[in-house]
Amino acid sequence: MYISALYLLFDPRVEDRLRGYLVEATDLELMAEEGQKMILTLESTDEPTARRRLSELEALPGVLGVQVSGFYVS
Amino acid sequence: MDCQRRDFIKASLAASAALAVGMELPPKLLAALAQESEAGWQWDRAVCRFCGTGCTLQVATENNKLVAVKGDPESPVNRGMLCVKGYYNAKILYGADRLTKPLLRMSGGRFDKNGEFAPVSWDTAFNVMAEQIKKTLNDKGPVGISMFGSGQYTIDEGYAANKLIKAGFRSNNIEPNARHCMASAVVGFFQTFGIDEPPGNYDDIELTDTLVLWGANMAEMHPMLWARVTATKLKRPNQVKLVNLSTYQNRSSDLADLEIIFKPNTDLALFNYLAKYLIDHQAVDWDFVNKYTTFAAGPTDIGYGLEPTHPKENEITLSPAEAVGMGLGKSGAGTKVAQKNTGSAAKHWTISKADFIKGLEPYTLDYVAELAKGDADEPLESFKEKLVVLAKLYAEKSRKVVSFWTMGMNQHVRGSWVNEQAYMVHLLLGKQATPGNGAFSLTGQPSACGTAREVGTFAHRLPADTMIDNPDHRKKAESIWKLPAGTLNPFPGSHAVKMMRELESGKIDFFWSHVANPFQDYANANRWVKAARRPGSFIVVSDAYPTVSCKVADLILPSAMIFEKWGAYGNAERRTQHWREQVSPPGEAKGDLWQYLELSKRFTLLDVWGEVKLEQAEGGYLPNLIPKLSSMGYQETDSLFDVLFQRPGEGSPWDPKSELAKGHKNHIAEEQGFFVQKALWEEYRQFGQGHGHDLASYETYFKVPGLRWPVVKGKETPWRYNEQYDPYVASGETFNFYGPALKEIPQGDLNGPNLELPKVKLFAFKDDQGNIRGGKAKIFFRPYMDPPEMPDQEYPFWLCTGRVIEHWHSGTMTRRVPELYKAMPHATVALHPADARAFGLASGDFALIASRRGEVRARVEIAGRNKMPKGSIFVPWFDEHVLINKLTLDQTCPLSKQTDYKKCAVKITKA
Repeated sequence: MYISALYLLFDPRVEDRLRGYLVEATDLELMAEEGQKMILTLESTDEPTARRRLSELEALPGVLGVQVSGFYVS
Repeated sequence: MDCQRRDFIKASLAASAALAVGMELPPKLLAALAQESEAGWQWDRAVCRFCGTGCTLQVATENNKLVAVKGDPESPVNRGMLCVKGYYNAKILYGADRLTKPLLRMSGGRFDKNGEFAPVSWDTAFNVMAEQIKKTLNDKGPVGISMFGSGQYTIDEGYAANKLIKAGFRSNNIEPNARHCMASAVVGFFQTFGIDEPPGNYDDIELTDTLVLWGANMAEMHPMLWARVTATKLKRPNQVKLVNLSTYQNRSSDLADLEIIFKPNTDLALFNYLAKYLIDHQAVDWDFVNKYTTFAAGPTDIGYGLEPTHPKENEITLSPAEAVGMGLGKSGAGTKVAQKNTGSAAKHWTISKADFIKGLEPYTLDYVAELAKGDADEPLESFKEKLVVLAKLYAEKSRKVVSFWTMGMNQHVRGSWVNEQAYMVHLLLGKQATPGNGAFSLTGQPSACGTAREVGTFAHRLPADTMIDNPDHRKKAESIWKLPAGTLNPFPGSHAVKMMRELESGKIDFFWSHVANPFQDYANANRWVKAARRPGSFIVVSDAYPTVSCKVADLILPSAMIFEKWGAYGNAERRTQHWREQVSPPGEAKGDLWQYLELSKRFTLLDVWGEVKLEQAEGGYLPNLIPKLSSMGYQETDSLFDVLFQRPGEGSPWDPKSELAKGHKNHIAEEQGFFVQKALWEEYRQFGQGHGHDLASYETYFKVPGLRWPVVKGKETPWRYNEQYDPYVASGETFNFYGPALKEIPQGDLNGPNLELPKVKLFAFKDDQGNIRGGKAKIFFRPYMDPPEMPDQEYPFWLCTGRVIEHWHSGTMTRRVPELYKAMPHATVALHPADARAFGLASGDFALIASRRGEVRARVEIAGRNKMPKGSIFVPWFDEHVLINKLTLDQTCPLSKQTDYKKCAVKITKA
């Protein structure tokens, strides 16, 4: 089990699309938000899987940056 | 991984991330965090350990440790909030230097008064105590034994201690530190209403239009009540008026509409000015006064509670201010007045309305303003204007008024008088005992009302307002306690100050202190510290931490603290609140109640109930009870424990699985084999049933956040003496001041009683239908008098002592809470900037403060929370390193015997 917290900064013009993406993504959970900022948690089976998922997220149109803010491994 | 655990991890990580970027945490996240962090916590209702407000707590425990404290949202007192001390209730238990073993002064393996402290077993401790008590009883009789308790005793502790000393050892030398705290309020209640405790309640704060503080810095001393005062003021800012009367500017001044700084002791004159104003301006409710009150006066040649050998206990010379205030005019100044009534200060008689008005005549605005103005920099006219504004606030017909006071009026050489004067003003207006109206004495300690006063842990009292010197009351106590007739010693014991003087003189040899720190708390402390070390004396101190009192003790007993035992407190609005044991006491520490029970097992009836030497008793002895034992079913080999605490076949079983125990421990009940606290409660409440002190069953109190006594047919009493709220007032009476004490008194005038006239009966009585009718309250005339020690050339400053918000009393508990210690590490001396400059002192410098009795060093504070007028200083008493009571004078109100800590003369130099 690998859980990480992500700080995500986005372009407000893509907010709706981003929310839609998050609804469909079962491994991502929106925990807190404020303006153009979101705090997400990502639940993965291991670290490499988490890294791949992070890259996908960074590549989404309108996502200005993603930063891993903390993680938990068990 | 379970779902709950996963959610918590996610919430924690997300919270860290959010905080790192300065985002607020949404409620969902906070709730998830709280749920996990509190998993495994057991929450329960309890009561705050500190002041007399009686805030209800919710406390959480985990693995036998108190881990969290919050205000109980269901509490009618604090409504979910707590003050800075309240939130640290848990941390007081966990100071690094908790006492965990009994410690005895020893050398060569035996007790030696000059020896060093060494750990001993409880068995050894009790055996040494028992030996000392038996020796004292044999040498000096029961007057040689004394106990000093507290307004912080739990109700069951106070009740058991009272029973042990009065019924067991047949001594009446038991006093609480509440003698130094509330005794003047008690005398005020008894003399005015004939029954103890405030008629009103905290709801008055929201219901009133005017809050007048007389010597009560509520902002620091009763913070949660202050929060309610603040809310009332802010909710109705134009209607609600707040007045702060004090001898210095303090935090309560910040919210005040009117601040009146007066000279120490002149509150006596201020009240008389108000009464005169009300009469002169036709503001008196004569209908109320004529129906429900009578006028009264008492002697003025009553001394100051000093040593009988003090010159002022024998004769005083009237000052010009006293001469005018006593109706002699200025030419009366210099008159010598013999103090003939030092032993009968409380006697009083009725006077006519005309005499009452005549007594008030000298209290003109000019006289009172000149006498009372406390700030040298304030123009006299400004002070006069303020007095008029105050009088108008009281007088305004439709305006509701509550007057609050605490130590400023109680710790006062005429404390009982000034308490009575507060009622004088409210009774003249008919603004008493109705919602939002009344004179309201705030208690200092958490159970001064519930334990010290209601349980009667004073040298002259028995439970529920019964008295030691009343044969009917003793008979009642002997009946409830199942004692042979004549067991109780009919002579009141020594009050607190006298007790210490007798420890010094050698009349008392055995002194046991509980839940108090007397050798830091008593005025003129140097003397008593020396007295404790007198050869032949034996001092026992039960405490949770090493204190000044422990240092002078011969035996130290480690006590359990509040949440380490079951208990109950009764607060200032007559609200009783119970709590369960939450965590176990550390090491070998035990509850004070356990200590009384175990000691009582060391005495057979033959040891204590034979012929007992007592000088005042007929033939020099108290009656021998041994021949009466068999008729009571007792044997001389029975222990005091068998008779006082666990008679065969009585008492409640202890069941940790019961609904009441809810799995909580009870270290005392488990060891004694029965539910001691419940048994004592059920016995205690028999004293109060049917005469205004009714209490509910033990179980009831665990279902609610307290109930205000009297609790009659399951209903509490919010306002006393008022037909609408008090079950003791019959239908159709509107008001009835039914308290029975001191209600048959002589008639007289301002010069004294006329014993040729028949006594007046002010009792309430039962009519044909059994309804109580017709009790009257008394409106006293009391003149202004100077205190015995005032500033002079050699000692030019007034010293006032008191508390601070961060610390409780002598700091035993709060100085061990790092946050509170850091907030106020040491006591400082507050003084006026001009006075500081005159002595070359700046903030932070050390000053040497000295009185005729001792000296201390303290850092100077010029721009702190207390702003002193010129000529006055303030030093709090929480700090044992600035032991300010070395300087204070052991002067008392002669009626209440309560010490005046608020005024004596001192000098200052740069240290």
